[in-house]
Order: sequence, then C-alpha cells, then structure tokens
Amino acid sequence: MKNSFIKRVEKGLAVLALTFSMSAVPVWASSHGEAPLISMDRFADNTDTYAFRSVEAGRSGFVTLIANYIPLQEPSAGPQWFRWDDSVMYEIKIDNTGDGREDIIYQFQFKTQIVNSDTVLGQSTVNQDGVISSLTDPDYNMPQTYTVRRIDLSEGDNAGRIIASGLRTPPANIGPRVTPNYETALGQPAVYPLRNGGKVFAGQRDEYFYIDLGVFDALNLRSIGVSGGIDSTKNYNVSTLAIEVPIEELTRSRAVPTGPTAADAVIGVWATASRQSVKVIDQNGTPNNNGPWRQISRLGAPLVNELVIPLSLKDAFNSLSPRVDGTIPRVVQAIQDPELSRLLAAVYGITIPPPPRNDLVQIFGTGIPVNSVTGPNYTTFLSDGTAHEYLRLNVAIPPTAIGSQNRLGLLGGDVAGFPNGRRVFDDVTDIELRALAGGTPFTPATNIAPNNMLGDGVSFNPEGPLLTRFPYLLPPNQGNQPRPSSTPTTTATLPSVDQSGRPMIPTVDSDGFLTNR
Amino acid sequence: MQSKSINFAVILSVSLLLGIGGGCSMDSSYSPTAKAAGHIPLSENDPEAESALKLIDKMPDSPDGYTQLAVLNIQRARRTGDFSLNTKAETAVNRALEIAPQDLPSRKLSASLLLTFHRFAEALERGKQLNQEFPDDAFVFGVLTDANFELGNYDEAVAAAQKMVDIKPNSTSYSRVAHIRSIFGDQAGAVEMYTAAARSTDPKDAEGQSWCLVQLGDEYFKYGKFVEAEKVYDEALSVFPDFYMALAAKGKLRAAQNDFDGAEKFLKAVLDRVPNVETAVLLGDIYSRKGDTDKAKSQYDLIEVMEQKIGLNNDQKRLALMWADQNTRLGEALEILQREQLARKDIFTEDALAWCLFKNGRIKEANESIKRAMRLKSNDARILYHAGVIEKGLGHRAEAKRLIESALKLNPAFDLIQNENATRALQDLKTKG
Repeated sequence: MKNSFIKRVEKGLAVLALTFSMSAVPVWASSHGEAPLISMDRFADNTDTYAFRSVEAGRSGFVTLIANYIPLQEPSAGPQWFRWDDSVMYEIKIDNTGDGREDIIYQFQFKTQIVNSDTVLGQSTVNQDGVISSLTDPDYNMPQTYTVRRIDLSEGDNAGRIIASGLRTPPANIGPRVTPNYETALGQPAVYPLRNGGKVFAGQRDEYFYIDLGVFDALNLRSIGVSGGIDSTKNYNVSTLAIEVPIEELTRSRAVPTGPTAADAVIGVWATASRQSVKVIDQNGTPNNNGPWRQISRLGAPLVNELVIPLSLKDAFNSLSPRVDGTIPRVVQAIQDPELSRLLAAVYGITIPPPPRNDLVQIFGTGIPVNSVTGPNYTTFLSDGTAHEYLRLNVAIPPTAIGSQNRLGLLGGDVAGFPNGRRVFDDVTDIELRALAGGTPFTPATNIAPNNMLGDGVSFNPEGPLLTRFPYLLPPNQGNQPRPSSTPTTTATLPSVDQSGRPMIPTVDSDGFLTNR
Repeated sequence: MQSKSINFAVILSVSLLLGIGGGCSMDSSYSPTAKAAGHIPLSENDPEAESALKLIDKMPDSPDGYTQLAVLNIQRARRTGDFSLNTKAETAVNRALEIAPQDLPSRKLSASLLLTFHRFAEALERGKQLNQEFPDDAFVFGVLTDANFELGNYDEAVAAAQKMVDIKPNSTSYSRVAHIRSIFGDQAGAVEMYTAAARSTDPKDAEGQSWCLVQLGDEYFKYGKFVEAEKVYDEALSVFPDFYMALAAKGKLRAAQNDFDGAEKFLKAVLDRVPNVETAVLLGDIYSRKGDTDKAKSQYDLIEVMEQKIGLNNDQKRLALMWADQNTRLGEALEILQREQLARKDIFTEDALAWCLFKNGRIKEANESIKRAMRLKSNDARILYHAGVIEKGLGHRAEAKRLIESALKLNPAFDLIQNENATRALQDLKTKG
C-alpha cells in the first residue's frame, strides 16, 4: 500500500512536471511521422562465437567454427518467425598470422524465396497439407537458401570462391503440427557436406549459452540468493552458422601443425555482421543502394563486448577490425583495468590484482604464452606484439572426449577448453568472473577463495546436453508449446546479504552449484 | 560504488536500443516498489516498467533506470499515439540528466525528444554539441538529419544522413535515406529504402516495421498508386493490428477512392485513439463531399477547438492551411505561417506560407515562397497545385496549366476538396486559354 505522503509528493511532482512541459505537448505531425531513432538490429547482432577441434567420432582432423546471431528468439514467434536477413553479410573470420587482420573469411549470404505470397502466414502455409516434412516441402512457404564463399586474403584472393550455394536453411521450429519430427525431417537434412570433407549448417537452434544475467544485477546476489541460478536463456532459440573445415585449411602453413608450440598452431577467430551503406542522393538521380559493406557487429572472445567494453565505445568497437584494437587507448585501457573487476572488488570487498591487468591482456588480447602455469605444451599466443581481441584456438591441442570435458576449461585442467578456443559446453561466465577477479593461476596472489570460486550458479544448459555430432547445438525449442516457467538450475538457496549487510558473494562448487559461504 | 555496479543487463538493454551496444539483455522477475517510481508519473502495476523501476530503486544515484523508463515511454508513445507519454519520457530524462549531466544515453534521448516536441532548432544545437564530442555516433547523426530536414536545411540533412548510413546501415538510417529521397522526388529510390527499412526492422518491433510500411504505402499514395499503397497498408495492419497510423492511411486511401463511408470508419477509429488535425480535416472534407454541410462545419469547428485545446503551437500549420483553403480567417492563417517560417524554411512551411500569402492577395511574395517550396522538385501534388494557381494569378497561363495538370496526373486525389478546385481551374485554363 502506498504511503499517502509519497502519493502526495508524487502527485505534486507530476503536476509540476506537466507545468514545465505544457509548452511542449507534442502532437502527431501532419506532414510526416517521425522515423524511429530507438531500435535494435537483432538480425545483425552476434551473440556468441565458438571455435574448437571437432569431437564427433572420426572428425579429429577438423575444426568446428560456430557463429550465433539474432538473440533471444522466442519459439512461438509467428506469423513471421525468425529468418536470416537477406541484406546482412554474415562472416566468420580467421587471423593466422597474429596481425589482427583476417586471412581467411567464410562468408554467408541468404536469399528468401516465397512460394505463395497471397498469405499472411509467412514462413509456413497450407500450400499442400500444411505440414513441412522436408526442406523442399511446398508448405515451407518462405524457404531461404544460402551461399558460402571462402576468401583467402593471404593468397591475395580478394573475391574468394563459392564453396557451397543453393543450400537450404530449415524453417523455424514452428510447432508440433507444422514441423513435426523437426530434427529428422528438417534439422539434420540441413547439414550439408562440403567438398573439402567438412560440413556446413545454417539455421535455428537452441540457445545453449547458459548464464544467469541476474548475476550482474546480483552483484548483490538477489536473484541467486532467492532462487539459485536461473538460466536466463532457457527456452530461447538462436540462429546458428556452423562450418567444419579441415585443420590445414585454417593454418598459416596450410598444414597440420607439428605440435602445440609450432609457429602455425594458433588461429584467431571472430564473427561479424555487416550491412550495406547506400548513397543518399546520387548525382545522376539513379538510386544507389549498393554502397560499401559496413561492419556493425563483432564478436570474438565471449562477454568482452558485453562486459569489458564501455558503453560509449560500443558503436566504435563493433565496427572495428581486431587489427586496430591495440592502437585504441580506450580499448586497451578497458582490458587493462576493467570496470567490472573494480566493481567486484568494491561490492564484495575482495582484493583484485592492480592494473594494468596483463593477465587479462593475455587472455583476450595476445594469447597465453608458454609458461610455468600452463606447462611447455600449452599456448594460445598469437600476436604481432599488439593486442587483437578474438578467440584463440591452438589447433594442435587434441580435443577432450565428450564426457571427460571440464566446463571450466583451462581452469579445470582441461586444456582443450576456453580460453583455448571456446567449446559450446564451456562455462565462460564462471571462468571470466574468476579471471576478472584475478582468481586464476596467472595471478597467484589473488588466486584464492572467493575469487577463484565465483560463479553465477548456472553450470549447464537445462534443455539438455549437446549433440555428439555436428552442429552440436540442440534442435530449436518448439513453438506452440506451453512455456515452462524458469526453474532454478541449481538447488542451492542463499541469503542475499550476510549478517553485516554486505552482499553475499556468489561462489560455486566444482560442479557449478552455489555454495553457502 | 555498489549502486553503480548493478544490472548490466538492464543497462545494456537501453544501450542496445540507442544503438550503442552488442550482446543480449534480459530481466528477471521483480516486484516494483512505490519508492522506485520516484516522481515519475507511472502506474505502479506495470510489468514492462519493472526493470526500470528496479534499477531506480536499487541505484537512485544512477541515470540508467531513468533512461530506461524514458525509452519505454517513447516506445509506448509511438505504439499507442498517446503523446503525453513523451512528456513522461522527458521527465525521466531530465531526472537522469540531473543525476549525471554527461550521461551519453540520456543526452541522446534528450536531443531526440526535442525533435519529438518539434523544437528543431534546439535539437540541432544539441545534435551539433553531441556530434563534436562523439563524432562516430550514428544516433547523433540521426538527430542532425531530422533537425536539418525539418528546418529545411536539406543539404545538411543529406550530409548527416550519409554519415549515419555509412556508420550504421540499418532500418533507422535506411528510413531516413528514404525520407530524403522522397522529398527530392526520387520515388523509386524512396520505395527501395522504405522496403529495406521495413525488412531490416527488428522482428519484435511491430510498431517500427509497421511504421516503415505505412511510409512505403504513403510513397505509393503520393504518386496515385492506390493498389500498391493498399497492399502495403494492409501488411502494416497485419504486422501491428490497429496501428493508428496505418488506420489513418487506410482512411485516406478509401477517401481517395471515393469510398466515403469506409473512410469515415477508419478515420473515426483513429480520432478516437489519437485526436489530430490532419485526420480531423479529412473527416470534415468527407462530410463536405457527402453534402452534409452541417456535419462538415461542426467537424471543422471542432478542429479549431482541438488545436487550441491539445495542439497548442504544434500543428497550427495544418489549421492555417485549412483556413486558407476555406477562405476564412486569412489574416490569422498568414500570421501563423509567417511566424513558423521565421523558425523553419522546409518546403511544406514555404508551401503553406505561399498559399496563405496568395489568399491574402500578396501574390508576388506568394510566388517567391512557392518557388522556395519547389526547390527540391519534390513531386508533391499539393505544392504543384498551389504553384499552378499562383502562376495563374500572375497571368502565366501556360505554366499554370502545366503545373496543375502535373499535380492531377501525379495524384488525382491529393486532396478531397482541392483536387476538385484543381480540376475546375484546369478546365478554366483550357477553355479560356
């Protein structure tokens, strides 16, 4: 019940606010409507990038690259459903020399067809029996095809060559009536073999990336304290580009490296989305809508764009090539002295390593050199001496078999996991919270509890384990289903503050369950 | 320090919307408290506002909750046509700026609200300041584009839009390119860009997509392509049912097709939701055309009351144009336009001024003004008609005939009443020519 005093104050202030604004009551303009300025561009929004040695049986000579886009897709998103945007260029880029410049690009472009335009139903309609039972079913009313182009800039091949075309994307997982047997009928058939022995897939999948976004709100631990960690991305889908290519197609030497410390062993991987600029007014009066491509989204290492880069720099960062990262003082500074680290220290009263955080520069900007912590056969170092932010994968480090992987990657003793590339399975939130707090062996003085036990209380994907085959990500959550409520993915509950009123620190045990400290 | 740390997710959501960010945003469940609402007039039981209220509650000394509240209100204003929500947004932004005068999202929102309130000169100044500090910010170039466009600084608007679309090609920049192409008379180019804008709008932003489609339909309507226009208006309504701008567009289209009963239904539905002069004038014109002069008169009278009651100084231009068309209160009409033209020299203001000058018998000045209105070769039937009538008044009959013919050819139903006057004027020119 609202306190009457507060009510009075609110009322008074509301009147005051109106008085001040009376001269400016807006109306609907007659000659035009205002174009929106506030908007999102999710079609061109990278969500996650993954790079890892393939773990599917018989695929040890391959690397899998996955770039996810179009965040937080609700399964029941009709009548239009989610699609790839024909006007966006989606790219996965590889630097294999350490200069931050892409040497190899896998470029994806989509084309939407319409079977029957006299329908409001969009992606599916009853052109035949209303069931989409294959990728070529006429009821798949707006199928999308795509082309994959491989560009090898290191060989001066600027135009690149098309390595696949006319491939079909599966429709969204609309519901049990329209898309029954989704994975068998539509998901798996959309995995296409490539001439180089690899595979490619482009389509909707379950958002495997798990995180309690409340962890950030809950630097005071509220959400975790009340309910345990909640996977904020549960039941959401995402649009996945996945491509598997032979190791030697990615390395500087065009060969399989002889060992993890060989000069050609580490590759840098990031994904981008670009749209075409246009000429507003062309001199000769003909519309020119085919201006240069402009990168508007970029994603390399997980959560860097979200957690490390300050807001005022995000537009610029999203448009930058990793080549120039090290030359921009604010980017370097953001990594050397991240705000979130300082906040962790301030909120929880923990001690963190002082800036400049060279440990973070190594993880995100240059790669980890061979050293006493990681041993003589581990490195992700790939740099010409300046920082370039992207994922670094040592393709000569063998993959860890499914079942033996550790979600904490290197911190859990699993050298095939993040920050050596990134597997879908890796718990990058826990890893990075600890890294930001200095709770890693690279900063021994702060590699203590609770710094090295931080976590968000979500340690696995509640929709189930990954597939054991390409594209690894689960089929998309089906639309037209009752939406399950978000249930805690751990059973622990904690008070949100300790006896002195200080926020409780979110630490987790080795299985990722919240511990009651 | 603690309060500044909270809720990365929510901060991100605002930054994303303002075109700053990457990543995803999400909110967890929360019950807003009375305290959180502070002095922002906002309903207590408002699930959409929960995360903003939570943020304000948890971080009273941070601008972020207030900017989020502002964004929410701006978007709601767009969705519903309830423009008082923009005032709530303004209050929230002002609070954010009191807390953090240099906060970039707040400053950007504040500048964009000046546009919403039609304070274009101030918006331009703000935009310039922000642009100096943040020369690569696409949103700021959007503010500069709009402010210059409305003020009639078209070269500057083109330059700003070019920068905007070069930095960030997306639906917000594409729609501005389309606007500019439209006013420069490049129909094909405008259609392409409105289409691109609609197709690239965020799939969850039904209002945004529908808005782009209405603009696309209007571009067809402008050239008398009613079938194409209706198809697009219908799509706009299927994307976002009952969107008032799409309903108004349908009403306008039906009226142009002489389906007055159909038009009346749409227009009344609009006026029930969003009283506005443009729609009200059209409804009055429909009554006139149906021969119901009493109803027409009371409708026109209502407009005056409405404009005085809610419009204040914001759509007086349309009111003045109506007076000029009806040969009534011509002195007042001219005063309104002269005042307006001191502040902005866009082609629609110049056109309305020319028409009022002409009706007041000041034909030489009218001619100067209409020439300025035609400087972009905009292919606007109303402007061409006015120009034709002014040329006729000057005794330039051949030019008058050419202009009025081209107006009627462009869109034979550009105005329910004036198109008939145009036809008569043309006849007159032909018979006595």
